[in-house]
Amino acid sequence: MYRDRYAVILVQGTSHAIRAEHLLNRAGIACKLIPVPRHLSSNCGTCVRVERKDVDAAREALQVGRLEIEGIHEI
Amino acid sequence: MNENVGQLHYTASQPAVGKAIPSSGPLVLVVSSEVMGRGEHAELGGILIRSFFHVLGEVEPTPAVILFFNSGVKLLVQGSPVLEDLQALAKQGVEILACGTCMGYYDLTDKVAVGAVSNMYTIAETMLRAGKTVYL
Repeated sequence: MYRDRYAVILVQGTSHAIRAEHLLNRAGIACKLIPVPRHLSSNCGTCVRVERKDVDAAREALQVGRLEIEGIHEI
Repeated sequence: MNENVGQLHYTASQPAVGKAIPSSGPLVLVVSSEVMGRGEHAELGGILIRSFFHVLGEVEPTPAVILFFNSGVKLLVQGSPVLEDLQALAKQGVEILACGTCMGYYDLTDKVAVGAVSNMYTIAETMLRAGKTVYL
């Protein structure tokens, strides 16, 4: 149902994902904390989902907030 | 001498009084808190419940009914972090029922954004008639 619409941003852990959500909200970028999709990791982790159109803006917002990004994947 | 004295005889068609008969009713999910699990940090429980409802729409089996009571009803109102997921589940046909007493206690009755406000009769019947009840 989400095909071709979203991307997930992977960060180091849950506390980083919470911080990422704060930074993206502050930047006015719609996002959602979701479990890391199974095909990306079997660990019980949390990542941030954004719309693909917002990926560049999200990357910039997280970099400005000095939050390290482990990966960005389209889902 | 009667060898059967003092013995009780039950057959499969004669269940003991007061014993429940296994039901083949619906799968019911019970949510009694706005967070998932117990721990010293409520923030983590909030993240877990958001994750849970996100994946609930993608995994099988889908519950037929989700019951919300106690602070779990806070998940059903405007501004809830799981509202979008619950609305999607409702659209799929999942019945979402909220405890009216709890809604009133938290003064949220006018803010319900998904599901129906119900009462303890319906909640009790739904749980007792369930084929399987899963407590979050």
